[in-house]
Amino acid sequence: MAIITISRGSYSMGKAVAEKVAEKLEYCILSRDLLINASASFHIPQKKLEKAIHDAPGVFEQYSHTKEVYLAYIRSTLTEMVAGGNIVYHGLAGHLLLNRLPHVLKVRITANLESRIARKMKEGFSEHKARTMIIEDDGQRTKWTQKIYHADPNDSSLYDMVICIDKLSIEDAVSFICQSASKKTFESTSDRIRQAKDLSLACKAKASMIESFPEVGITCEYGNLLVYASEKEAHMAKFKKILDAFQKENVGIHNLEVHTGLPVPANAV
Amino acid sequence: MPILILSSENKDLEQEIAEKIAKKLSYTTINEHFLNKIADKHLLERKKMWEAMHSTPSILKRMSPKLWHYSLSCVELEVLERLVEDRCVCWGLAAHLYVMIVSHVLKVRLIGRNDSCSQSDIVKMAPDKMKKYLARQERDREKWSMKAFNRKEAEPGLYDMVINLDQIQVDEAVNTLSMTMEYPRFKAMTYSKNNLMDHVLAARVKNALLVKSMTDIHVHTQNGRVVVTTSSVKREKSRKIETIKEIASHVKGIGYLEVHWNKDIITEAAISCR
Repeated sequence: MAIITISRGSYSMGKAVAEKVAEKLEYCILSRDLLINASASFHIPQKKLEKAIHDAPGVFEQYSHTKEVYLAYIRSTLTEMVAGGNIVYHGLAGHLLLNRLPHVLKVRITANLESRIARKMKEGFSEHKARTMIIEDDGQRTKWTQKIYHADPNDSSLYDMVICIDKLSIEDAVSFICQSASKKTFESTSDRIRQAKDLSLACKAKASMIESFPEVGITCEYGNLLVYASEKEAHMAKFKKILDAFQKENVGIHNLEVHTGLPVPANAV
Repeated sequence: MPILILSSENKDLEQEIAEKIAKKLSYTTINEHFLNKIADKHLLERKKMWEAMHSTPSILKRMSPKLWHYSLSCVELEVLERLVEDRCVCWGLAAHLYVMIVSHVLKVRLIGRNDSCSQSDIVKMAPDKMKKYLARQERDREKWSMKAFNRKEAEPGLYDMVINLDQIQVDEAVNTLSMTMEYPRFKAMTYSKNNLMDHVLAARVKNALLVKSMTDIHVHTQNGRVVVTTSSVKREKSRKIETIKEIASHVKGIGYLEVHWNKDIITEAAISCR
């Protein structure tokens, strides 16, 4: 009943691994559907969301926070979609977007550069072109993770397991992942499902506020939402209006509190 | 038969997993204690040998780069000679940095559970202090591996698998690794054994050259053919090539030998400016 995120570089066979894992465990598989759903929910063109989750922020984007806004939309959609468990997500940044949940098995599939280039060349690209494209793509991924999450995507400590598909085959990787996912550590207990739902609610609240109040921090426990904002923000009419509307739309909220002048906790979204 | 090489900053955990796997599969083990034997065999001080494996050369520690490189080459040679015997679990000897592209070797990195601190250290340290201590350890280790083998130890690309033990239990990791070792693709075949023998031959030649204080050497072996690349000033070219040929010809198992020479432009320029 786990949630499995499979991170991969392009042409590292991560997609094939994810599909086989989902088939073997009879889990739902999620990748591009995330962006389609996020696009439909927040009325943002899919292309823009894809760019936000793939490309590193440019010079001007760093000041406009557009990427953070889109990312909050994507995260809100993802947390809602995975809350029930039994899911394999092999899209971008799953291990970072869901890092607060304890029952997420975070896997990275790697392969050496030469074998990745060979796979890309099968699509009709020259060796030089294939190499350039893969290196550029890896560079974008690294920059994105560094700028948004201040982490290195190649840092193994971000994952529970890193498997190199060179000596080990796709079947081996599938077998390792399925074995690990069935362990107690990754079981979806009622408490963990509650945590996933709380995270989903917090992310949803953040998504509704981020455009106007990007600095706001939100936590949620047992359906109790705590909003951390500055004194100035909390007294604005727009702030109250957004929160009221959010509370009306979401029946799952037991209580909503606004805290001002307090530091935003580390576990806030 | 397969060989398992483990690498981790958490020595206690690494040892626990290695020993459990070795016991389960009835494999032999090779670890840091092997350093004493290596030191005795090559007439080096035991303390210096341990130092060479854990820190970079420094005048303050009275460890010259020559002695450091020679000590590491002794470790590399003896570990490789031992690995040729198969059915072995190896850890704590940095073998993952010099055993490359051998198909019957499974290289695994274990991370998590407060890397680089043994349990007793964790109990004693305050969280802030421990964080700093871990960061320093990581920096030192990276510096060492880059200087010794020009590879970053923490780079996941060096391994077939990286397992984070924060969530995954020790016994689960032991089961997974034992099961993987049983896969047919990790059986030692003629080709992969020859590959490992090439590593051994290269290590023998390198060690023989370093013992005679030869510097600036790179040894590459393929199918028993040895290519030594070196550099020096032009006037020393023939003498250096002859010396390398003379030393290497006495190495056990050597067949064809080729020496490639490159001009040491920097020294050459320095001499011409005098």
